[in-house]
Amino acid sequence: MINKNRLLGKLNFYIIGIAYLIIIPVVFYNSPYILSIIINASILSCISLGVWLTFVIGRINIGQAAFVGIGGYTTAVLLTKFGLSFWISLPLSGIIAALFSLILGFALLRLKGVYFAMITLTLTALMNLVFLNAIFITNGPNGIMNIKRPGALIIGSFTIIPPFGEGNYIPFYYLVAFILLICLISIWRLYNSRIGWIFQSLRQSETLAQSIGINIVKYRIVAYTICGFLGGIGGSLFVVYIQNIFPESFKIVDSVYYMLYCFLGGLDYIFGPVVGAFLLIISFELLRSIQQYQELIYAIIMISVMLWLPNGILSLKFYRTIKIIKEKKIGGLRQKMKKRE
Amino acid sequence: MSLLEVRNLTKYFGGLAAVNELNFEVNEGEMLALIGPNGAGKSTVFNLITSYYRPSKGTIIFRGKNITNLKTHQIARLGIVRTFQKTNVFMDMSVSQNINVAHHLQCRARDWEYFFLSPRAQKEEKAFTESINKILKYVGLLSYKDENAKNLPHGLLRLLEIAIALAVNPKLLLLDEPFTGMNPSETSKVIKAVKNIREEGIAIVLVEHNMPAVMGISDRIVVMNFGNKIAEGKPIEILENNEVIEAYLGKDIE
Repeated sequence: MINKNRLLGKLNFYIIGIAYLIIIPVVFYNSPYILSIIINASILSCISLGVWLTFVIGRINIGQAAFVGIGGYTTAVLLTKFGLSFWISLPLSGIIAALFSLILGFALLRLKGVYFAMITLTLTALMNLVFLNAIFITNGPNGIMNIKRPGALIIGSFTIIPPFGEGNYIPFYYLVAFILLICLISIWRLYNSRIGWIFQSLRQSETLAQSIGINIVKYRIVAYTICGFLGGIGGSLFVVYIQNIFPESFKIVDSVYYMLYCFLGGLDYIFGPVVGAFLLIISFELLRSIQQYQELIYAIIMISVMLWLPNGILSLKFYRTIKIIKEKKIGGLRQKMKKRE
Repeated sequence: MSLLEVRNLTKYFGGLAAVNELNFEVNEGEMLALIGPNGAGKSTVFNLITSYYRPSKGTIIFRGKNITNLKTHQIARLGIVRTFQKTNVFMDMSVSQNINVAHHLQCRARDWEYFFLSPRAQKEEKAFTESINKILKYVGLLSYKDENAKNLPHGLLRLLEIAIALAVNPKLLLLDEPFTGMNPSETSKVIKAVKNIREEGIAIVLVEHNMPAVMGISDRIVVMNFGNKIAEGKPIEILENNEVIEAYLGKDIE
């Protein structure tokens, strides 16, 4: 029973992966509109994946937009003012955002529950003000425009990736898809390795984790740093994709959206944030006519998901099978207890 | 030489002295019971020893080393492991994974080696699997191995807590009311487990209200009341101590 489910899950994963990597780019080769939606959703999934990881350690993180902004501005400044290659700026943006989250994490992660949520919320607002007022770096409210598309990636005399042309979305699609896949696979591996178990143990009981010798400060900072890194990478991709950057893109609302994607998809599933982001982005593109009500609808979705679907969309799919397994297990347990007595 | 030495331990919460100038020792391989009426400060003593609280005054010495200012996880590394008064296990994990996580201190491979599954990490994972089975068999939870912790009844959860503590490889085990809320058959099961552990040579400090159980298994008893130690000695001496009877039952009206 469980094995069959696993096999199905694996099959689903491969089907979705093939569709994502081959079918969509081939079919929609000539429709930049659809490609751009999926690129957008992929970048947002990557960012929300970081938020999801902070959920794993039991913290409600509404501060991701700050790190996305830091990553975005790093890339923008490095590309326009220093003329660096995008291929260097991308990892650098991730690293700088990760450094910020590392330093901030020391102070912020002492708080728990609603207090951590509040302080990260303020962090987003604060960083937004920094972006607005640090004019010598960020050019304030006017933003930084005309950011170049990524150039060629050349190592030695080999051209590994050719330069990205204007108006052609396919190379960018593959860049983003590739990064999202790497992020997903690494987070999946992390979640299922010993570090992931420690992260989960922090959510379930920090006091017990301490008493079995886990340095909880270290591990929760590691999780938060990875979260910041993913945010920075996402910000960097976002900037070269839309080719400009403004402080308005990194507001509290955005942080809340990243969190909402996780909630919608389901906090227990690594694919949760990806499913959430794709679902919301695509459905709102389909309902373009009501976009002025976007925030209202987001709010309604968030409340209803929390009320009626606390484990997210993905829990729907598995709901029936899980229920059956549970019933069997509990029944089995009762029998075992009877036997023992 | 004593294993653990508590000297002049004092903890104030505001103006209230929850623990006041407490002195006691735990010898190698000994079972010491810490008893007293509710609010006497027993759990606070545990929290102080394992550094969940900082003492206001006093020192705690473990194997000749001052551990008063160490962090909780460093104290666990030295071999002092506790269980909690309120059941505290990783509820969303299976029983075996609970124990697996508790093997944290025995990991020699670095975290990234586990991420990439290096040969050393694989070897350790294998060794842990064996050790998990051994521990579960030891406390009698082997048949619930793959069960989710939250599906277990209370008595088994308390056993699981002890199993988690054992996985850390303790030299000194602090058990905070392990027999609370149990029916007699569960109690006898846990008592058996505790006795077994003691025979392995692990010293145990036990906080407990279940007097018959305490009298039956402990070597020595320390009695606390309002943060002060009021008596110390063998179970039989404690039973006859007037001050202890007073603390529990009150004074006769003359």
